[in-house]
Amino acid sequence: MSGSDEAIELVLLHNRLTSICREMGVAMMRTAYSPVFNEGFDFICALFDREGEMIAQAEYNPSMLGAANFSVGWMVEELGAEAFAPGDVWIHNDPYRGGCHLPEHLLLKGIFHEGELFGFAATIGHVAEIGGKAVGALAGDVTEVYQEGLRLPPVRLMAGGEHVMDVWKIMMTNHRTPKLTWGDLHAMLGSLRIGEQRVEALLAARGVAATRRDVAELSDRSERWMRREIAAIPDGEYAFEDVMDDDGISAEPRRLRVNVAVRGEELIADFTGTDPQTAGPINATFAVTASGTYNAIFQLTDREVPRNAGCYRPIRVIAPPGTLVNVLHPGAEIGGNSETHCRIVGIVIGALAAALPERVAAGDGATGCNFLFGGVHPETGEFYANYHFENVGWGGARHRDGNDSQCVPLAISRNTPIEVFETRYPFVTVGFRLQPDSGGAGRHRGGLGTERILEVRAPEVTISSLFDRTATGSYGLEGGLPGGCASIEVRRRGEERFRPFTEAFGTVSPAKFSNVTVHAGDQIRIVSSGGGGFGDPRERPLEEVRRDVRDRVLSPQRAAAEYGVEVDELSAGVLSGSPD
Amino acid sequence: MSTAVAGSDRSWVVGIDIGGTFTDVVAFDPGEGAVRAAKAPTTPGNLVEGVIAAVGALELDLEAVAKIVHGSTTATNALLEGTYAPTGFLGTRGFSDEFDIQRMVRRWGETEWSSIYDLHQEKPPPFVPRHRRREVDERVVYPGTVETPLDEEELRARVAELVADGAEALAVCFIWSPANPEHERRAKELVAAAHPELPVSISTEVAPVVREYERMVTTAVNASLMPVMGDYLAAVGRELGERGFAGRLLMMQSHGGVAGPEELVGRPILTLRGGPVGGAVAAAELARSLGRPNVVSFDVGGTSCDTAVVVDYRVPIAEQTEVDYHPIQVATADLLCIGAGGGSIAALDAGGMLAVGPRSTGSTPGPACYARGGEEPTLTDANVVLGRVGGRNLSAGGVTIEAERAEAVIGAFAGEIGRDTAAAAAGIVRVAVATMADSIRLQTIDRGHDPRDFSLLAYGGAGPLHATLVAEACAIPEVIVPLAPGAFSSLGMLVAGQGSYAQAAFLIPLEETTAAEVEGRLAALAAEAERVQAGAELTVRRFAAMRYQLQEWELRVPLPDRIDGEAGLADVAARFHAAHRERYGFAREDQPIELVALFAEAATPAPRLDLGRPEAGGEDPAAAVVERRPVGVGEDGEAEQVPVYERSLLRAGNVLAGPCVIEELTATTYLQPGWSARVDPSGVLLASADGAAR
Amino acid sequence: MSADAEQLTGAWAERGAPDDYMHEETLHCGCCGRMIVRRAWVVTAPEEPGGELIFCEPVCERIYAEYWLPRHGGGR
Ligand SMILES: [Zn+2]
Repeated sequence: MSGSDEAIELVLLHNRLTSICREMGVAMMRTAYSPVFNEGFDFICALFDREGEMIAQAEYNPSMLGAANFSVGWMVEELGAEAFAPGDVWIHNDPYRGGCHLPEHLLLKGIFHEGELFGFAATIGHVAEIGGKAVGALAGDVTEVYQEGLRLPPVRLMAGGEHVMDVWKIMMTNHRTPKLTWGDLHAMLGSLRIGEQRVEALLAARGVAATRRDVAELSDRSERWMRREIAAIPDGEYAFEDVMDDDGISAEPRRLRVNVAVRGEELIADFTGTDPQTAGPINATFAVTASGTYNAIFQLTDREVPRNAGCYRPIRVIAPPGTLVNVLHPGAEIGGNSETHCRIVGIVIGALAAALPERVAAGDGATGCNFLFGGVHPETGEFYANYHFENVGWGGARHRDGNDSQCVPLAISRNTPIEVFETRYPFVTVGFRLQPDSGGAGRHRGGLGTERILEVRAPEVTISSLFDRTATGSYGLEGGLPGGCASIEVRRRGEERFRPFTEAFGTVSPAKFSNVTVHAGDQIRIVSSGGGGFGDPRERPLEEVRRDVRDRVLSPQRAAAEYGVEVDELSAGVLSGSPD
Repeated sequence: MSTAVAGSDRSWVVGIDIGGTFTDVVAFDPGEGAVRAAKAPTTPGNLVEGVIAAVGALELDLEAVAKIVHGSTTATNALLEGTYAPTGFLGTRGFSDEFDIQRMVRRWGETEWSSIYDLHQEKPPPFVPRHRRREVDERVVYPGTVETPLDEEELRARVAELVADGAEALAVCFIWSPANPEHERRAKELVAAAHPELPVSISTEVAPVVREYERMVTTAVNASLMPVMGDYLAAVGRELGERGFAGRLLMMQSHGGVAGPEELVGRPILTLRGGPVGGAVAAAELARSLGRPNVVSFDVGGTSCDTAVVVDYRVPIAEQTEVDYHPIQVATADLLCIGAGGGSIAALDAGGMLAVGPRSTGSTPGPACYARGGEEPTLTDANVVLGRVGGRNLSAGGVTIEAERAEAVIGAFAGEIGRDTAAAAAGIVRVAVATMADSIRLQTIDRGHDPRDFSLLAYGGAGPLHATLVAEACAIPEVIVPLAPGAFSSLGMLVAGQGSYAQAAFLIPLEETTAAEVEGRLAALAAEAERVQAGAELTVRRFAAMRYQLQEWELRVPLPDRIDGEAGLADVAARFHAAHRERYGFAREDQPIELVALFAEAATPAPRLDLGRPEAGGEDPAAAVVERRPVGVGEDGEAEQVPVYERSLLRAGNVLAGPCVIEELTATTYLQPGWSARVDPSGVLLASADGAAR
Repeated sequence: MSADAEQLTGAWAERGAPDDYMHEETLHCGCCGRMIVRRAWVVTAPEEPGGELIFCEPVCERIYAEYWLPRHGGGR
């Protein structure tokens, strides 16, 4: 093979493997039952070699992509390659076995060529309802994994192509919405079958030995590329910290800390100094901490580096066991993958602001605004459950404002259309708007969060919540101010105003609680957080401040207080109402 | 091509394709089998002028024309150039910020691939800015109940504000209107009464689909195109009518079907990709007749390079497309368009790198060698300097080539980059070829298609000129050049413009409906589809979009010609299970199925266009040589004497060795060294590297 | 920071017992804190409690020496 022929062969193989993963994803999205799959893209599809090293992935949920290195590797090492037979599918959702958090189920299927194991097709999907203390799993005040839902160690879901009904029965019995679980798991199984068939065809066409050699070469190339990227970051030690509101059980803030050591072509993110593991559910697993670190580094380096095992190798994570960033069994961990994960990404980026001031951005809104609810649907008489989340504002950067309302960095979820939401759940949406003044002030302002008001239309609905960023806003950089905070509030039927749940229902935490019952006519108001600002707000050009006021994303009061632009200066071009 | 026939007998069918540079027309008489082609420069700003000029150049009595099928870039151009109408939006209280909030989160980086980790991707601005949006009190809730009546007073006041603010079109989209369109209909009436001249588009008439954000954006884009499309259709209808045309005027839609002006005035968005789709559909037809299931349809005109990947003889159709990330809920052929064509301008970019396009001279002034005032070096000028394009090929468009002018502009550019003229010309061609090849790689390699399984079907005035170069750059082993490549897209209008479609939402569990109900609805849709093509002999095909209950996404499944009773519905269910198994790897026979929408397609069989098969001959093409001239064939444009063939003189079976040039009325084919071509009995040229024809 | 294998003194050994379902204690890498499944990279260290250091892979032995010890000092 000449050099350019080899380059063509390798790029073709890489693209073919990636497109197999994409095809797996499309099949999953199109056939799944839960909005979290088919609208939220809360899943991944990837291919692994027989040692459990990732050989390809498609661009789905970043948190699961990073963590799959651990959970797939775990399963292969625990079970041994000989455990996998054609037609078998193994499942596990154990956070203490390399998972991100309990709802995320890994399904792994061996791919065989002429009877010999070549590698694995893997999907991870967020199963929306897994039993436990509260519907939708993300209860804000659980204290151990046993309350969070049904935990499966590696077990066979399918054996020789047949359902292992014993396992299915256990799951169906313990999940509140078994029909959805059944549908979503079958979507995942269909996706695995597509991956398996496509890889089998690929192996038949280009041979097993050549393919093994070439996927190894692809990984080595990615590793070399990532090493060059890290080598381009100035060597040094860069520290950063941030605090989380509370753990849902007691009201104290918790500290996260990182020291990023850049040494030549290797990068170490050392989280020593982070607060101990909490009683409440904001503890992250090691896989979450590693995945969040990868995410931050990928955002700051060349985004075209092919994503396979190689690109992760030069990034090392130190996460002391028994802390917020490396939970020990049986610590509660359900919120670690949404709330703490966001902060891990944020502090690694924040630390590197000193090294890469042109590439970083101020903090994003950094909360999933996880809002869970369920009950018996008044029209169908069936149990329903939903895991709802919100988008947040992103941080301003050296050369631009932050984007408004965008998914948190650990996911790529789309918001569920209101018309889909209302078909399924007994709520009517009263409004869904940008939240004015939520973007942190700066030369380049942070993006805006949103406000959503839902009115209950069933006799009662049981709700739970797991938000953070309700006490401190996302960080600004270089003089930029923090973004607006998130909140969840309630207005009981007939009441005048929205009130925090601490006041209306006596919860310990304003946004981490479970199993509160609301009734027909009650309204829930969810505000998501804004991004931090970048640079001194007083350096923001007057025209941009005026435009923000005209578009009603900035109040005249804030314009005066934070940007130093008084009402009379605003009125020149704005309040006269001239468009554009 | 035959001489003019005046006929009271209305039988001719005319296809019109507006390109960035030329407007091509082709006329076909199915009775006589006669075909004639003509072209005229495209007239941006007033496309009708170019259309009329091109039709005039056909020298055909328009009274003899039964049908004109027309692919227009009017809608696309308006969006690209920002010349669509300032559009107001009226929505339900509480929801118009969805224009800013949007749905598809974090995918605005350079590639979808890189976007999941792209901290600096720019969210696209809302299609309708905040100051052009208004909300009114009204609310329908699922499954269609009015919860808050429409506040008509407020509606009038808000619309008046928008009009006073400069809105020249209005889009209305209310939450849950697909379940109950009454408020939208009423809004349309009220606006029509108060502002009779204001074009109004309501969402349920454009994209009656659940998912409010996609629907509201589609409606807003549609409304913004109504004024420009209305003007265009009126002008084209009037001008053709004045010249005696009394047949049916149809326009291509994005998916390759056709619709009439009466429908498109209100739904211009259906024509969004109606320009380039004709060529792609024609490419798929030609591929079928040649037994090449996989071809890359490669259309290079004066301004752009449009590519489509045909797999298994099909142009892939997507249910949704996008304009600058704004979702457009309209079925659309999957095409990729880049700004690289004969008129693309060569320049040095900020980093001192040679770039060709996307800036183009268009038809006015055109490349320097057209001698119509162009002073910038273009890709066509480079090809003229290299001798690959001679003086004969473009005369049909009313253009003659002046090689000295090309020499002058390329020479000047060569001075800037410190090369000789030939090397600069060769460099311009190489850069353009690399850009075109990248575009093809995006659609093949990046989607997992091995380009070595494809043929490159090259057409458009400049496609065959670059085809062997592009094929080599992306490892495609074969190039196909149809007869009359410059007119191929407009021929495509004749081939492709045979179908019309009608669809309607019908959301119901399969077990809760009856065969009679489904048949009744399908019959109404079939009638609607047939109406577009009135009078023709039509085949109707029916489809249903279905899903398992609780699924969110549907799958489109062909239906039998007749659904009879319980057994008929059971057959429909079986078809769905089978399609689901085939597409997604599993079926759920135990699960209830839901109907989502019904479709009918009415089509006449595609006419077989016989452009005159060449006579059979031997391998030696010497008899077709019209001249030998120096042509730059080397990396740096080093020239060799090469034969120039006249295509109409070639015989089936002739084998041509590169380097050589093949000229015909509408295009030039350049065969680079190391490639050779065989003349197929059908007349197409089949070229491959190393003489190894497939 | 080189990945010079010659300077490493550890060896692979079976340590974790992930399928011991009666016990939920997990074993963690002495450097990075990652859980160990079955195989561990074990370094003899007489001064440590138990006489050894356990790592998840050889790289962690190196990082322990080059980064962890100088920065944090002593064992975990
Ligand atoms: Zn380790």
